[in-house]
Amino acid sequence: MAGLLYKDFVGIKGKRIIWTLIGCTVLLIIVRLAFPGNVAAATETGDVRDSFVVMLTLLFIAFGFVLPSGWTAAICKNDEKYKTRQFTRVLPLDKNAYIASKYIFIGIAVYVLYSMETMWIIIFNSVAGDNASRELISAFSQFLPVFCGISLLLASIELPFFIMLGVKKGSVVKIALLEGGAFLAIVYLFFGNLKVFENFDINVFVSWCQEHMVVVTLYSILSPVLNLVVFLLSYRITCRVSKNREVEIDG
Amino acid sequence: MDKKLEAKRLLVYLAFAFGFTWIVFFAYILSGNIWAADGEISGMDQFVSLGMLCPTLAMLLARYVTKEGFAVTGKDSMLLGISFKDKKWLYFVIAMLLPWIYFELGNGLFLLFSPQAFDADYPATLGIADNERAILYMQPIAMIVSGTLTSFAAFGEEAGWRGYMMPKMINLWGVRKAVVIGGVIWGIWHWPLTYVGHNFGMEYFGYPYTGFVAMCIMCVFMGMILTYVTYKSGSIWPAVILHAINNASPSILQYFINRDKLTGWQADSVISFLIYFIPMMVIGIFIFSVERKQIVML
Repeated sequence: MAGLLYKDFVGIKGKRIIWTLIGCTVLLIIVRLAFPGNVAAATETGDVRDSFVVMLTLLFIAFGFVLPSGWTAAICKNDEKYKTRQFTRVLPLDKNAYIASKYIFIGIAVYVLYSMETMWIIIFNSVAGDNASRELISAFSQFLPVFCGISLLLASIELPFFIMLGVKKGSVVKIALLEGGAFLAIVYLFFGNLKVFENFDINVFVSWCQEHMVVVTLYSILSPVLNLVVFLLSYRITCRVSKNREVEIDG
Repeated sequence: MDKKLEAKRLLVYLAFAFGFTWIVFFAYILSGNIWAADGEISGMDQFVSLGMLCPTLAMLLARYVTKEGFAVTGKDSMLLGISFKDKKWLYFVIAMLLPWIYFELGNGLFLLFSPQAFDADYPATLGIADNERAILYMQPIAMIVSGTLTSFAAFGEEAGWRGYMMPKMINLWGVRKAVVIGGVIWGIWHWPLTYVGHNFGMEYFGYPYTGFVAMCIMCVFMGMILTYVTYKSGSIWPAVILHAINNASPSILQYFINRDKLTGWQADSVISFLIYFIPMMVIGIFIFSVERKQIVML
């Protein structure tokens, strides 16, 4: 299993990614220490978008969310190129080891990225002082588990297609699903109730969260657990379908 | 096994672990910071907590410098693998539930010593309205979930202490001595932060020396449990999870303990800390008296 995971690590150019993540962390520490406090607060513009450090932190975090989705395709593509799956069939491995390695790899990747993002937020907050940008980033940090959960859910949908249909067909299915989502969004834009967004205020949402702490706490407990259950279900389904397909092929 | 080489590797690791972390801790102290100076953990306090990652950095460097290699699983490895076979999943469950059990027992014991501290209306003082009381009962589960998710800082410590230092010490001195010496070293590693108020504040009897001793005692007993789950599961992950959840201190009873009602020795943070941890110490001693020989065999 360790070998399969290492192969995937090499497949996504893991060493380069690790150095990039370390580089981002060091850069953020330097920028944060060079610009303590908040630029917007110092200039009294009251506009947090002025803060270069806020944008840099958010950019890194966004970068962290996008990566796992790219990796699911990359590790499967790499295996197709080197015919790894066929090769693992002749090795003394558990029959589900190959599929398990893909899920474990993405699980580890999401955990590592989540840890890095939490660390970046801690670095940002270190000398931020008490100001609007710190509140913004702190509020944002509450949603990190949700965003990471989405990464995991996306992988739960993508991996079965990539593993069972191959990257080419899997990508077609992925694009079709995304286009379906986009189509629904467009339909909503034309026929849905857009007034909901007219008065959208982040502060109202924050107040709602503060007033409904029971719901928020319950959600914070259940959402990671549910995400993991879906991830495991996806793995089980992929194993089951994959086994049936092999039986069909073998006759 | 080459004991001389093992000792050399251990010393290299300790030099790196203490060197890196204490640079961070002393930079924090010398720039005039005090832990939770305004009653709340500040951004800088959180930042210095990243010093918890230094033992892992030290372990990686020690492996590199002493040419030990970076095996993920197996003998002399970093113990990063996870296996649920042979009922090893049980140690993950233990890691998740044990801190809640000993914190709840510890708080119960504390209330036995200081019953006047019990305050049924204290949650309201903490800003939890009566209609939000359900949060209190969900809190330990929330701590277990969030502790497990945000366990990277605990990983930073455990990959070094349990994943590298303890196996070396057990090979050199046997499990009994290793747990005591390892625990004391781990406790000493915390001293700079203990000095600026981490864990006990700065207003207790015998500051800072009693705090230093209490930290070492806690680390010895905590180390027993962490070493036990590491060896039984063959992985550092149960120890990582246990450590992270322990740091989140899950307990329902803690929200009903009003420390403002305490006076004299009962208000002393070091004494109350030791009382809180008596159940954890008993569990640690029990586990070790029953399972010690198995750990030697591994």
